[in-house]
Amino acid sequence: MIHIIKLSSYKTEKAKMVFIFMTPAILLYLSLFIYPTIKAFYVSLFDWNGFTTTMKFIGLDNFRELIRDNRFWDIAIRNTIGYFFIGGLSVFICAFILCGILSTKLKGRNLLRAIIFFPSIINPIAVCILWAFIFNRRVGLLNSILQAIGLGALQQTWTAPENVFWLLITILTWTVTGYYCVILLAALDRIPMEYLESAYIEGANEAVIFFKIKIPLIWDVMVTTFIFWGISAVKQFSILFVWGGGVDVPPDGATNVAVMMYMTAFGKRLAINRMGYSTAMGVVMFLMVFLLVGLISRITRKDAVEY
Amino acid sequence: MLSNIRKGAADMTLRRITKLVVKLFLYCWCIFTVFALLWVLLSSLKTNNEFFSKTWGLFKVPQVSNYAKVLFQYNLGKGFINSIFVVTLSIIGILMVSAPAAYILARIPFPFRGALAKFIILGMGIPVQLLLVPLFFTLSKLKLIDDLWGLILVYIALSLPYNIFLIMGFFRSLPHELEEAARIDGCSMIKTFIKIILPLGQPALVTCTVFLFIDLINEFMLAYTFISSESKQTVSVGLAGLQTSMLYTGDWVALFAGLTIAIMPMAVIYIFLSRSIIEGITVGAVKG
Repeated sequence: MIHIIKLSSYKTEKAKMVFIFMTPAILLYLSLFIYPTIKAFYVSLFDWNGFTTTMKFIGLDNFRELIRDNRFWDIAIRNTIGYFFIGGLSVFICAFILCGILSTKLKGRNLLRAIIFFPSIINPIAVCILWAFIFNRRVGLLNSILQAIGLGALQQTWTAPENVFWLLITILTWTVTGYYCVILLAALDRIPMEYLESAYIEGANEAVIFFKIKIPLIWDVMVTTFIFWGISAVKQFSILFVWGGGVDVPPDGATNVAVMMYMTAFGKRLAINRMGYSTAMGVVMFLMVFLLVGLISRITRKDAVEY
Repeated sequence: MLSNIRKGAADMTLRRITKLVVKLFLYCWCIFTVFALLWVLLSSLKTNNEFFSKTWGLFKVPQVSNYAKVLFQYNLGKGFINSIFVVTLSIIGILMVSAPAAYILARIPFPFRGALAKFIILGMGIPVQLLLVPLFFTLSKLKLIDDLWGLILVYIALSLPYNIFLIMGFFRSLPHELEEAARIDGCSMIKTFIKIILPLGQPALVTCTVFLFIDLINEFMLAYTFISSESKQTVSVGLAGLQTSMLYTGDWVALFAGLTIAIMPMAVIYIFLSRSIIEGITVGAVKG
């Protein structure tokens, strides 16, 4: 009898506890995360400048307009995909080279790893300004280095509009490579030595060991890093938006979907204030993230090696 | 036989060369990074004249006044105070909301628990940009636009999925017998959570704090969109504004001082916490 009373009081205590502990999280999540998400899909069906209280329902017209919008396709989508693919190639090639050499016995390994990683936690605006100075024609580090090592002939106006995309790829690579390098390195370090010993004894090449033994063993971690990159590449905003002196109209090379959607809704110099149209681009970004994640996990699907 | 040996020797040299090239790449990368950061520090202590005349030269007298100027005249100091305020309160809020929720989702069975956990984690895949316009108008309605409290609320809400996910993973790894033992000893559930689970969960909470600090102090888009008055700007927004205004004032060395101020605290934190930062990153991805 006593036991039953205890049990039921335990049940009410548990119910109370679940309620008290979950409510703040659920309320906040619903009101400031899920509600705006649903609202976004709703707003994307309207023509609305944000100032009036009346929103004009136009169905899928925003999306129809997007399909015909040349700037959206030729600049925003193209750059988003460009940042994802070319940026991804550049980041992961560098990360692989760096973690490949860092995973061998090397003097000052932890210090080198720390230096490589550091840029990924610097304020992106600071990163952007720093690189604007590195590429500066007159006082920039790059041109001065070229001058100093006798390659003065290569000096040029790096920040010319047609270079912007490539400069930003460089900046992104410098910034985020360390992050992926550290993750991959941790995975490499977890590989038990027995798996490698026999290969070393047989005199196998470091490169062969890296590609034939180590990579298959860390495949699942690699897929995770690819997915991280996919999500973050589509969302890339701060560095691109602030590039070019923080002026409110970023150059074409720095305009991806995120930047274009921001400009369409909140641009200051170029006040377009089309909330519905902008949010339709947000919906496209949402779909892109899901598509990319799905695509990456499908392409890379392979039985992970258990060890 | 002989050709085999020769081939082996050629292989050896090729291997050595590859390794050398790769090492060189690594060292160049690191030297460049250190060099660029030192360049910022040095330039921040020059006069504008010194900066423009000799990129490589040292300063005659360190211009500490650049720092005073950027902090007080250009208001980056205020930006810092705002950022610290917003980030501190956001972190406290996030931990207070997500740790209990994560505990329930990880360890206390109730109907639809799994579905609820999935529903919350789903938020990790939604790009923030999708929420930008709706959030702007929600905050306007709540009269929280251009208000640091509004920004704090948004930061808390948007950080929930990832942090709940992370803390949940940690709580799950704690031994199952904890609650039972506590109950037998007559400890109430809430007390169990506060006295036993939270102290044990400290490593996860520390990791979350460090990451939230880095992420939120570097956050730009939301702060730039939701805060309009200059006196309420965060450090990221202030820095971006500083860059724009430098195009007109040409006070570049002050901008370098601003860069140093933005980078320095991170460097200091990093020097002390680099181990736990790196561990924290790899926990999510590697252990899976």
